[in-house]
Amino acid sequence: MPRAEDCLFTRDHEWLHIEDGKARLGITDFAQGELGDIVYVDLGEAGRSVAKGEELGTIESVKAVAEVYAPVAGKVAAINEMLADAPEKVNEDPFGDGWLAEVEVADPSALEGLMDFEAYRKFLEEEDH
Amino acid sequence: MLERIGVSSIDELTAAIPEDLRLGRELDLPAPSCEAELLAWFRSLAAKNLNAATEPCFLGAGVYQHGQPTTVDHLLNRGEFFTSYTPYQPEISQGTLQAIFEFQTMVCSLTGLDVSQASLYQGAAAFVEGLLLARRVRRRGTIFLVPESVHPHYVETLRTYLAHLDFTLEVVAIDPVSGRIDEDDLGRRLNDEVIALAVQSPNFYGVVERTDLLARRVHDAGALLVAVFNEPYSLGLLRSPGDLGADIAAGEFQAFASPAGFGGPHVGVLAAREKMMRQMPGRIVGETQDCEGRRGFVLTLSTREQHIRREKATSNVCTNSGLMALASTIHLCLLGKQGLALAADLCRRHAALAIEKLTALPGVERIYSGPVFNEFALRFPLPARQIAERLAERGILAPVPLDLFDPSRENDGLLALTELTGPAEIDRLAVALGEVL
Amino acid sequence: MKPCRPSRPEPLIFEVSRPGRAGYSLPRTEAPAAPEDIEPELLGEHEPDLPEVSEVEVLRHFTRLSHLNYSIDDGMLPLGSCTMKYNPRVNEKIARLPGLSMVHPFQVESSCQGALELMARLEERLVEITGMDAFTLQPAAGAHGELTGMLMIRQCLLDRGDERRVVLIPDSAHGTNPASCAFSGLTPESIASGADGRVEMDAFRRRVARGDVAALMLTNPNTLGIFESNIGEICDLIHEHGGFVYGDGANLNAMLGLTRPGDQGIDVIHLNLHKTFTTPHGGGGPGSGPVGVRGELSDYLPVPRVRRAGSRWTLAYDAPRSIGRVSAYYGNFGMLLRALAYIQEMGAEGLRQVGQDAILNANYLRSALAELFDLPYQTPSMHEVVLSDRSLEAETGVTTLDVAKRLMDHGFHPPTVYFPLVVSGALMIEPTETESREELDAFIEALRAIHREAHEDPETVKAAPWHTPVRRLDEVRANRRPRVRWNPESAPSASGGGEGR
Repeated sequence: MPRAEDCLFTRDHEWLHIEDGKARLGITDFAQGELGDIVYVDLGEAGRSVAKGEELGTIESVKAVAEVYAPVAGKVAAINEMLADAPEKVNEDPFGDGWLAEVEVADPSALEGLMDFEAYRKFLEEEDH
Repeated sequence: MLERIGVSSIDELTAAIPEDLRLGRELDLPAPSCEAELLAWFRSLAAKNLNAATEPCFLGAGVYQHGQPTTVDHLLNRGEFFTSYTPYQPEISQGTLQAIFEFQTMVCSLTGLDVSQASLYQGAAAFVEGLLLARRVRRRGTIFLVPESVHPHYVETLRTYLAHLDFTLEVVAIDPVSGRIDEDDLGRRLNDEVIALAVQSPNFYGVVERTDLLARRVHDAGALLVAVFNEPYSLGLLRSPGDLGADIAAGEFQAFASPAGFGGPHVGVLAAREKMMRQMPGRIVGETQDCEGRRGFVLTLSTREQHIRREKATSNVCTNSGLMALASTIHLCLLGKQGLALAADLCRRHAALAIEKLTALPGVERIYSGPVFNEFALRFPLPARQIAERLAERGILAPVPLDLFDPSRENDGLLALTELTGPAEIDRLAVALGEVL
Repeated sequence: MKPCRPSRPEPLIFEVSRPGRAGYSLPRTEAPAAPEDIEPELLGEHEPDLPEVSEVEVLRHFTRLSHLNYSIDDGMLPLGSCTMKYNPRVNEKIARLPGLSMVHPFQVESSCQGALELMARLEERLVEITGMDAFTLQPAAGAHGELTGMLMIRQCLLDRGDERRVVLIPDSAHGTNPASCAFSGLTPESIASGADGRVEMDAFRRRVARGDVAALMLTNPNTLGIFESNIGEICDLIHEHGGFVYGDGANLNAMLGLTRPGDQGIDVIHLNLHKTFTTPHGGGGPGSGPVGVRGELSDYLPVPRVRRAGSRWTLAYDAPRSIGRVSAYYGNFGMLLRALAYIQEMGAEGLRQVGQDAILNANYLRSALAELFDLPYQTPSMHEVVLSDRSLEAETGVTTLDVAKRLMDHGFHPPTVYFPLVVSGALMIEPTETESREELDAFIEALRAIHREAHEDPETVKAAPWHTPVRRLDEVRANRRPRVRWNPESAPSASGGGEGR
């Protein structure tokens, strides 16, 4: 399980953890808190390729749908099958069992521009939440 | 009240309406009627219509006038049901919600499928939504295969809906002898672009289809089978669509819910396999608990719907046919397990007897040889419309002229039987038909 | 009156089923058994899984269920933009006359002249009330009407060789608007409301000038209860640039006899008969959504149309530009009858009075409730008023949802909440003309009590409702592990049906 301190972050409140050229990704603790009780996660099927910024899937609470956008381009190597029966994992353990998908990063330079932990912390403060 | 609001006249409250857009006159409507006058006016117009309460009715073609237990309408007349709002506030809507949950359960039982929603406008809407559901589930393909034996109004409605969506509708031929889907023609049309085949059984001409065999062929081709029905009494006799291999069932419960009502309101039903639940259109009721552990029901999976997902919703539908769904639920409770099977048997016996009696008349013949439930197509020696006019003069409602749907079928007509049109009514029809031919 | 908690929970009808019971008698027949010509593979092996219950059990079950509902017959149902008004009983009697309810849609025309005439009469009346040129009665609900209207607009544009697709929709609009666009092959684009709650004209002019707008979908008065005073200029602008104005008639109640959409420049409008014209809501339907059009769009109306042919009424299909059918048959005839009966009973003066009383009632509530809640728009209200919980929440932590739930304990149905989306914590209140001053005062008093309680004992409000048949329900559970049908194995108390019987 990645530590938040070791992750990269997007402005859409997603985290990425790079390991062996693969990016495991999920939503941040802040994001799950904003969404409230998550009741359903739909990430499609593994094996397809996504472009950066393309919709990877959706996360649903009782009365809202949040889109998850691919923070990097690449092939979807895996999705977290556990979430089909236990979507609450995203609330309970967003960096651990609540991970969403793994993407094979096509171009590592695309990771530049993402925030590190400290930058994300500041970003949250500036957004005045 | 004006004083409390702080204005001196009602006109001040409507000052936002610009002068040039004001009507500036009274609406030009007939003078108002008091209640007695109102009833008299409607009664006088009602008197110009023949109706199934006084005349034997052999009309079907998607709308069937079975017996309506008194209890159904009595309960429907309870203001708590018919003047209540959509159950968005579950704490004060448990009556509606539990009744819909029971409705959904019965729809699942009768269709042999896993999930149902809270009803749609009518059968044609369910048919369209069922096919669009198939596309969302299959995620690929552009072609809907629709046999010529599906209710023509349903198909016309589908064409309207598909006008600006990127799907095509291909018509599958029927075997001119049996009246069933032509499996050779189907075979030629099946390919990977096919999303689903719609199979209405009993079909528009009353013939029971080999849904089981068709499902196998369609599944082998990687497509889905959407079962369509609009005479739900057939479900008391026939194996359920789900058991026959259908992935989705779309149909009409009018025959349980209400008399014909000159075409509405009726009640569309839609059921599907478990894994399709989150792709269903419209409202769904689910079971849960309140904060003190009591069983309760809520509208659920709302993120599929337009009020949350707006243009990305599974459908634009909002309204269901709640009261008619309630009516059909109550009716099915009263009929019960054995009643539905018994009523279905009566319908079938009466149809068989009618076929025998009517085809004994000179020049009257069955068009299709396939087995039927309670409806069948006949060819007459005269235009069917002319026969319908003459029978109407004799106080009999029959047949549905098929030239309403296909101008080339001038001499063809449909007749439907119910548990109410028994040997006496059939004899009367046969005698009258003999006279008008 | 309010729904009461039953002394014992009402089981599901399946749980009281006992083998062999039945609630209805069927005729005997002399007809011989049918030939066995249906293949055995197609025949059911067992009877369908329906409950077996007696008539009195069915009657009691559904009577008890009815006690768990709140309805217009119980009291005020002030849902904004839903226009829940009294449903006259005479309409129910009319709709059930056998000469109307038991008429088959495929009877020969000579045997249903009365039914056809009634449809024609309703169309005439709706034309006069709205100032449109023609109506179709076929759509089965408001959203169905929206789809019908947008399909007509799209087809008319295509016939002009015009491929434009953008439909402007104010951010305060109902969700069916964008959804109906999407199903018509059109592309919804949200436009922001101005500070006064109306269409912001400068931005609107700039947007329309780009020349790619197929249509504007506008609810007037809008969902903030505000009349779009610039409607004339709005329609002119859209027309100058070759587009159409779609009117969502959800709030027609406020305009009855005062101003007509057709005169304002609206090209297409759907009416919700259950709102303006008192057809019952039925706990969610059936509805009816006739669509009126002006000018060239008349050619695109669905078929068939009811027409006069000499001395008789007929269904006409000769409309080459028609978008086709949107339903089987001719629309929700039973609902059409009720609406026509209402119009006939009210007459012109009566309908004008309806609109005025609805406006008066809404403003009466507004003047009292603005002392308790925030009023996000100072613009005058028409038939409904939208308030916000902003101050209340800041002061007490009590939200709009809590207020809504606590209203139930006071015997009222809550107003529409959290809609329109442009107002945070919206409470959208529409009393309609149905309510008397005394009922309005009681409603105000209930909200005053809740407001006071929110400051003195906020936890009680936050945990409301306390006295309803069930208390707050676990929606998360219902969504995570949906159970959308009963089955004997998973029943929480499979023995529930046996208790006390």
